[in-house]
Amino acid sequence: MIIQSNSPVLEKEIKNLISTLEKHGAWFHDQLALVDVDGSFSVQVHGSLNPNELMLKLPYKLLLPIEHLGLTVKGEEFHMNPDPERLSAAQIEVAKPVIEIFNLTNKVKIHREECLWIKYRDYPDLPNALLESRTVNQAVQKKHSYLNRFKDAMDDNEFMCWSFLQARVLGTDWDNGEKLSSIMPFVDYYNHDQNGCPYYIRGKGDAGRSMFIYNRQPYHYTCESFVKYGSYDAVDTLFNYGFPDMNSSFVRSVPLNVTIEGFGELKINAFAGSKPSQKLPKGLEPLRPVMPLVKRENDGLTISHVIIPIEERPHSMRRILQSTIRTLVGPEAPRETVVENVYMAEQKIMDANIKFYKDFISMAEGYDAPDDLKQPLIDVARGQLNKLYKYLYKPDFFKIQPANDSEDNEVVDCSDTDADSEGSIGEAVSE
Amino acid sequence: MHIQSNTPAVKSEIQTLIKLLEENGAWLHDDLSVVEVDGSFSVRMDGPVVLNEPVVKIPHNLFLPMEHMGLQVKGDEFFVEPETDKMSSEQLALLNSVIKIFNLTNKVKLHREECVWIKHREHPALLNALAEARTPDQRIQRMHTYLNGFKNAKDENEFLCWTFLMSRVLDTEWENGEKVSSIMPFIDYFNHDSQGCPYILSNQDGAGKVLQINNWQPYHNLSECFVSYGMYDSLDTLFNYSFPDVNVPFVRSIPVLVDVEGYGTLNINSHIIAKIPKKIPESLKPIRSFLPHVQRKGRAVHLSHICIPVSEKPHALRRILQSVIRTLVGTDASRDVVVENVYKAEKAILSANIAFYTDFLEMVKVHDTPDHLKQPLIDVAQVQLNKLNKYLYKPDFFKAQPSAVSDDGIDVDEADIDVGRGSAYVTSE
Repeated sequence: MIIQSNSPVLEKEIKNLISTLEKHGAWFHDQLALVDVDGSFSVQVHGSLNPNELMLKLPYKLLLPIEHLGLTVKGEEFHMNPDPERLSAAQIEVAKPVIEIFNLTNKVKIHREECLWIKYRDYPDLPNALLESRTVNQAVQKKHSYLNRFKDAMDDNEFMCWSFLQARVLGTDWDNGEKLSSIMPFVDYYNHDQNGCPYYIRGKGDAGRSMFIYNRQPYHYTCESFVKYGSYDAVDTLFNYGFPDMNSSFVRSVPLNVTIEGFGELKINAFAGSKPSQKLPKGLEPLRPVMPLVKRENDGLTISHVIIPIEERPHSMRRILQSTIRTLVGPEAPRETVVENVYMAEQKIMDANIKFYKDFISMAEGYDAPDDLKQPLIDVARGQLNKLYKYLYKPDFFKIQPANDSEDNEVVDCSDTDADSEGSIGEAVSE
Repeated sequence: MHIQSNTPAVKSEIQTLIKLLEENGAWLHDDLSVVEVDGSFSVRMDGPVVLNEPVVKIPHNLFLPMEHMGLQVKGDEFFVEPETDKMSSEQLALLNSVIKIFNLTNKVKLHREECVWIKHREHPALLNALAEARTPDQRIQRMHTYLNGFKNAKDENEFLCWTFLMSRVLDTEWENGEKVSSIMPFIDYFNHDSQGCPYILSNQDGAGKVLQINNWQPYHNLSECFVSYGMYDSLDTLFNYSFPDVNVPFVRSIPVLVDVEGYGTLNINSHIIAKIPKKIPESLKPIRSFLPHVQRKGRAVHLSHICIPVSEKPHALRRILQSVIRTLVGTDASRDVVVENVYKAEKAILSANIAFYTDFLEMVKVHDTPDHLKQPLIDVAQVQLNKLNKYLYKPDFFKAQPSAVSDDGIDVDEADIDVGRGSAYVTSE
């Protein structure tokens, strides 16, 4: 394990964290390097190493549930008041250097300067307009209230603390049935990329489970290793973590309703982070990473989100629409009805998204706000637009696809579509 | 066709150029945009696009041969003294417009500021050290001579003209059999990316030879269209075009001599451009673009170059070594001899390259060269090293691979290795 920092005090505290984690059962690869540049961390691999090598193992019992840490902000520092009844001695021992490292790297100050919801408080119209591309869940609602200084908004320090933690916790389930949001010591220092390593959880029970991170270096030219916080597009990461992942290979559709004449309505939401947990029909299993949650409501279907693919799985949206529309129209309707409505829905979705980002750019360009606030949002919208323009239309898709493929699938699920209501850094993969 | 520039004169001259091209048989897609910002050009396709559809077609007879244009520099401007008997009136009109655009966008000044060989002339040591990663062919030698101010170096303006042209010409064969390096009007404005469109030169009915560019937009979030100037790694593009293409998924090996005990040596050169062998065994066709030019001289096999792949075609190096070593040891040697020597050669090549860039980085740390010159070279060496560290070792490769596959010898040429002048690959449809 290699540590690079210009600050000897910080280097010492990181060593303290590593040795504390190792003492309690964590394991780190010798070639793993933690690099600090002005308070920003990245995890790198130094020297030759094949992809997918195990880089670290972190016992589950060392994750730090924020609900029991008692974290507050005073001035420019975090303070903690951990609950010894709910946290183990090992967790409290690990939490101390974790918080100390936050303070040594000026995380309060940096988050205050970088957090989108704090930064745009004097010009809320810009993020408000872009936010219309998403269905507002509970977590986004809190951010929206703070941004707009609504009555129910949190106070500054409370919001600062909450939004800081919300961008770095993992939803965790514990033996006692508690569902808590936890900081992942050290794993927290990895940056996100859509081709990064998911959080693998293996084993049984709080004591037997561990988190495993493997070497994923999606960019040839850097030695940085990445994890994947979840399946997010550029707007999702902007709203959740304060940076747009421009390399994301899809666009999450804006919310819209599509009427299937004579059969009902598809109500397409734009929730980030929802995905089905149930077994999918065989024809749809390969599309699991982009599958929405679907439920029957009133005279139609409510869909948690629709992913517009750019390069990977280029036909996935069409195939998901096909199954969804078949579910809505029923098995007796002729295939032509499904096909015709898939093309119609596809076109409506594309038109609505292209229009949304075009309108946003034109509004933002004429908006009276400083350029350093306007430009990043215009760039994100333009990136979305450039991706949408590359969507692969395929007029002969259904001619070459066997009639029974992907169509005989019932996709209705009764799960709550508001799955990420509190938000978290994302998905763990349990095995 | 759209033109974006803050300078009305630039916009107007590009309009003239496009009009001249179209009047003489060129075709440009309606949605294509050429964008000029501070003298730098890019080509974009805005709005919904069909990837890989044609966006530009330029008749070959509108190319501008550099040998006949008489390009010179005076002060901060280009001017030409073309051989009027060797160029058509259409070519002369196009040349006039192309040169005007160069001057309106301050290309002389920009090239003087950006060309690595000019920029490092006061502090040549680091670039000299990095240039050891390549076999000094004629082109590199000329640059090296100028960089170090040797006696036979070109004068400043001559060198500026030559490097400026060399970074933007394509070698093609004309009807009279002449092989000429030419500027490609308008196509010159496309930037390079390793995932860009190759130059597609083909005979089209009634139009003769035409160069076509299709819409390749390798970056999801950008509307820029790219072409691929050729099979270059980051260092190659730095030496040829003064920018490192960091996205390239391979590293061209430095020159290495590998001993194949009892049989001879593999003399691995590091030429940037080489002929692709004419006869390629079926098993090696999928890695055609990686194949070196191979020549046997007694107990030595000389290779024009070897590319170390990073993610695409991850076994290409191993498979090429397998073929070359089979060529060296002959068909009577056992497969085990080949396999054992492939692993040894692979290790020797990787170790030599990693040592080269590691040593370079160590040397730079303490070198007394200004930071603005040092840092770009440090960055490119670090990028090469990061890629080399990702090379996929596969100890069970030959166990998993059927013995009959890929054990064919590679095509061996008796002629000397023919290294062309910096031109891009041309593919034919």
